[in-house]
Amino acid sequence: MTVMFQSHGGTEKSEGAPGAPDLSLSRAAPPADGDIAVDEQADFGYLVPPLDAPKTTFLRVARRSANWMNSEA
Amino acid sequence: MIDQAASETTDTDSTLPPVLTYWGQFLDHELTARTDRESLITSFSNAHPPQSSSVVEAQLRNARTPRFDLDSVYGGIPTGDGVSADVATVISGMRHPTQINKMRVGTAIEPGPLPDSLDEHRDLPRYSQVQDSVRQAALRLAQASMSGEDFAAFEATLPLRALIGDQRNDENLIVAQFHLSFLRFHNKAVDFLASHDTGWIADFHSAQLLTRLHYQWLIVEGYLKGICQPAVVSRIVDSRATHFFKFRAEYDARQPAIRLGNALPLEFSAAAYRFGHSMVRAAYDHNNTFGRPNNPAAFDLLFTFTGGGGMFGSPKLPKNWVIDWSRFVVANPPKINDGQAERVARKIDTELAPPLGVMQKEGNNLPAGQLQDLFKHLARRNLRRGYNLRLPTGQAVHRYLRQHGAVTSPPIEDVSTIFAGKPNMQDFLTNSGAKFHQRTPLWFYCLAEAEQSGGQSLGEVGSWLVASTIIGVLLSDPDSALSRDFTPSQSPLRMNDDSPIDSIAKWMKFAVVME
Repeated sequence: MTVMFQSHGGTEKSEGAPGAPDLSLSRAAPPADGDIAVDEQADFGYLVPPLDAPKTTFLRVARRSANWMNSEA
Repeated sequence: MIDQAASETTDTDSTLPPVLTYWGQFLDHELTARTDRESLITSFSNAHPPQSSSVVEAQLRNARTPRFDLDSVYGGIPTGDGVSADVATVISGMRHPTQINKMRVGTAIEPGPLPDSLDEHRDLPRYSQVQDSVRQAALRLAQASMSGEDFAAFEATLPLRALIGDQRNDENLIVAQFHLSFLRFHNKAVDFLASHDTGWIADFHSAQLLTRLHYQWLIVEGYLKGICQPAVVSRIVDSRATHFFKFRAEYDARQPAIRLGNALPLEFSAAAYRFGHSMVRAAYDHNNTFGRPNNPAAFDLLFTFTGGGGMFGSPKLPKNWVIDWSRFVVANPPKINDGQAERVARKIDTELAPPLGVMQKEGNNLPAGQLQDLFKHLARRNLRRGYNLRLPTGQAVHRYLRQHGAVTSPPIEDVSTIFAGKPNMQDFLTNSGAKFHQRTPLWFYCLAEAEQSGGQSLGEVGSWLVASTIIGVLLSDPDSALSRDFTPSQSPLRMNDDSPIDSIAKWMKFAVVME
């Protein structure tokens, strides 16, 4: 990354054709044009395998937990 | 998780110097970007179901070079496929216009007074002070990277915006002043080499190299040993971060088509390293105008005195808002107990300062309602982001690390047991239906682990995730201070008393931003 203009939060500028998100596994998303990641991109990965194993992630539960992040606990 | 008390109390204070909070933020901006943005991978408005972990790994790319190379200060390398001359123009604009070996800095203006008897060059450089070609280049680059709304806001405030490698370092005044110390350290290094017989050439390259080496040494000896358990840090240094390199090798094997060889753990970026949010105070003893003997600086005002915050119409930072680092850098500062903001960070625990429930710069382009509230509430954002990114639970991470000999402490099987004095928290964790007490979000687990041991440092899992990643990143760079066994005593740069620059306080003094 050469120069970072965007501050925290906000929305990632869409890449490619509008309305056609490419979530294929065959390639990584390119860098956002103006974020000009010219020296290199970098990866994010999981430290803890096996990935998506039920015992390592959260339970699939109904509404109260679906909104748990809105609770004022 | 948001502390509803109006002000910090003895119970919420740590003994950690408050500089550590913003030093941590600066380091985060050196390593990662994009984990906090809305994208196809992680969207608050479409939380269910989250993407599979393989999609996250394949699609979520870090927008920073994961090295402590100070690209946030110097900018990156302006070459590459599709890179225009605009990039070089902006990066060149960060250099001093006539003294080419130095970095450009800004000048604080009236009203004063300054908090000390030092000079007034105490603001970040801003686009108002550079030639128009640099401003136009920045606008073209920003337009290409931002949504229309974000760009409109950026363009309207461009003259006030900081001309630095990473705009996030002008998010609040403390991290902005921390960033300024790097520009000043570099410039002082040029002057020092020019005035002392060290054998070094007094040029940009020498100053940049020495600035990086001192900074990287301080990361381990000043920052990591301040916020992590020192024994964990030493263990990881002694093992040369073997687990970190094993993680990278496993990631590369899983993702052979896209691997770049420089992966960072999501468990670090999206969970453990967000511990610093709990150290943020609601008010600071900022300097002698906005601090003792007067009222402290409220957290919100520290956001106002930035390029994006408007500075109440001032074109540059007013002198009376320049930070007094002597109030921020002292380890184990004595409590003053005069009812004002103490010179310490909040404890590392599950209680966040009240302003973090309503973050003034976030979510403002969203319609009022639940989604905007979510963007403005830091705890909810962190928890939702971790869920969207399919992070493992705290217990699962502990189990994995213990199996591999990385940690020795017992797990917190039921995290609700820590909160005997907080029945509402205990009830929520236990009865939410998702068994959060036993399957605890990793960010919350790390904070709870720290709280269990008093809140003066991270617990063992949090310490390990943070120290392993940072030390691993340093060791993956063969020219880093850690790889080269650099110590400040080897440096040609010295304090006035000829002592080495071996603390953050001495760093600030050498940079002439602290008396």
